[in-house]
Amino acid sequence: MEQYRLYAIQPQNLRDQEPFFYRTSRACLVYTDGEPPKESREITQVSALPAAVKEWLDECITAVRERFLAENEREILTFAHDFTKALGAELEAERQKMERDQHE
Amino acid sequence: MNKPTASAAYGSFGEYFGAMRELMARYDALPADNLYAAWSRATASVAANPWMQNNRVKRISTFPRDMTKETIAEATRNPDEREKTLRAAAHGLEWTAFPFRKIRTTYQAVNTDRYYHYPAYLTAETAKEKTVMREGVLLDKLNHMMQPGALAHQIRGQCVQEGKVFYQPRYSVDKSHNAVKYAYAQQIPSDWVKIVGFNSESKYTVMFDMTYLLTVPGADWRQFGDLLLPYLEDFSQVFVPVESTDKIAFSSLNSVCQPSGRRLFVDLEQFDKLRANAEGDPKLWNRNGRWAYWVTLPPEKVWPFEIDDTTRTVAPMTSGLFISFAQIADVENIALSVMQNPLVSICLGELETFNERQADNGEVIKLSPTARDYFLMQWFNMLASANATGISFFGAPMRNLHMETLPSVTGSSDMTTKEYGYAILKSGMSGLIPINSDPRAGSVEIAAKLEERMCRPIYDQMERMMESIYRQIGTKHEWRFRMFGGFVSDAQDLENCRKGMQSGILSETMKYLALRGISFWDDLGISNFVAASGILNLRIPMVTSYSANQEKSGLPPRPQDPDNTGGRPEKGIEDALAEGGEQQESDLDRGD
Repeated sequence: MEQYRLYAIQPQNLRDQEPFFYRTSRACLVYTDGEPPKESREITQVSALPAAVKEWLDECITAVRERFLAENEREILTFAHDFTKALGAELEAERQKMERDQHE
Repeated sequence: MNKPTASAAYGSFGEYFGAMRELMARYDALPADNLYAAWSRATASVAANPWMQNNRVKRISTFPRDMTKETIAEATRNPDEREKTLRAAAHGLEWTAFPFRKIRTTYQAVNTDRYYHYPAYLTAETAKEKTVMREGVLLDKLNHMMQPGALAHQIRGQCVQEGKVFYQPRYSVDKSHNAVKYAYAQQIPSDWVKIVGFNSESKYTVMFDMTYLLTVPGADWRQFGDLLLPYLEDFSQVFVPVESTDKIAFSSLNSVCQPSGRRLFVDLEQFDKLRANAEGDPKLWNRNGRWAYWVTLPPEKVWPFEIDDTTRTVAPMTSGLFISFAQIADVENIALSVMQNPLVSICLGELETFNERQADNGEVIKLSPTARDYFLMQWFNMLASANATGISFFGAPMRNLHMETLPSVTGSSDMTTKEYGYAILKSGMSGLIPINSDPRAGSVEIAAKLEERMCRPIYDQMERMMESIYRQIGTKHEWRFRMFGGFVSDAQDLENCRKGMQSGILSETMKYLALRGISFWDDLGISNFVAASGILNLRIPMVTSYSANQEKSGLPPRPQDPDNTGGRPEKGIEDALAEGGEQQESDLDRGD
């Protein structure tokens, strides 16, 4: 999965097939994993965005994640299984180590 | 005994979350440090997950991407800034337009990658030294394991796809036992290297972005042997893990998040201290919120390969074909519409208009120019909608209506054939990839020879790389490596070599053997083996009129023919012919 980035563009430069965009009368935001749109400026300070935009961005991120999970469900569930088994074993090792430390 | 178990999977994400909740409930009393230590070790242990590793390996070359024609067009106009986009487009097109892949595989197939190695500057005395043969055998073993032929074939295809590729030869040679433990070449991830200069060894000096190790899931410095080892110490001092006990206040800008979720602090002060003496002359920068730590790789350890030796842009040389091939799918869609609903006839008429400035508007059938525009718009709308319906009606006040049949209308197969032919013609490969039933043998041969020459820079670089490896091994004598061969020129080369050997040109032997697919040392070994096996003593010459009648032929006896005593003729050829003529005539007279 490519890394998604947030760009500010002029509304007239909005591409037809852009899956995630937020458009107002004066400006437009695009959330994409592709090439930066024409005459765009990347937004890295997400905390400065208005609440409505943040809400839209959350929806975009959720949609991207859902799509990724749906496309790779089988592999992720296998991975998750291996990971929880490994984590369980490591947590148990840490617990035993802590018990030993306490007895000493 | 622990038996390996097959990897299982949860049935749903709910099951996974349930398992995690259970773990957290069971170990909720553990301090944060212990939790973090367990989490880190567990994450590291699943880095070898096949799915993760498979994803990493697929991304060593630029990952394919489907993109619009507009994006491709924009990238082709600005190739220096859009190298990665162009590489991704080339990989993507291979999956959507088979002819595009065919061009790449054709380039791979025209060269035959023959090679041989030989000692240079030997005198009659030094040629007799045992070390010459010993080193020759060692380097033959190295070549055999490195497989330069297969490597050149792979690199040629990748250079068509990406413009340039970068390889790291890895080998282990035991000179004292004259043995080679392993030898192969490993590709460096395309998106993480940059050409930054020139050098006398491998032509281009390249830098590698070490944050590859932090940001690509499943990546590990050990996957590159000892190539990255010298830079690790400095790198680990600049990218410092943020421990829970640290009292560091850091902004999100000065940190890198690993795939495992662990955050690393970028210590700029430490980098300033290290910079003067750090390995690989590192460059640290942040671009669009992403950190990069570039180090210069040793010129003798990383080898760039290219087909077009005039440009430093790492983008596919086929980018000029992208638009043509990207629209083949569009043309196929249109062709499908035409096939479903061919335009065979059309009813035409005249839409007359009156002059608005004239007072006489008595001709009611005539339209105003504005009304005509309206009907024209309706006409185009109808054509667009009729594309999939077959028959359509268009009501308009028209004169002289008449039906036109279109006998030479473009068929669906014509459209795709023409588009495909145009794209292949544009690629210059029409001599090798047939686009119609009219190939010309002469132009095909010239085209094939030209295409053979085109990938010559890969042979040149392979020669430089192998000779550099020979030098790094530290052979006593100087050795050369030569690579050549194409599917058209091989036959002529073989013939020339044979003639050269007949004329006593000994150096042709090496090339002749390479063309036959074996090395000089293979030939020695096979010949010694065959001679020692005794099989040559079992070879019995064919029975001829001469050999069969020689006393010492060793052949079984056979009945004597009174008319043919065998051996050399006793009479001169003219006498024999004269007598033969008379004899034949008498035989004919007898009716035999």
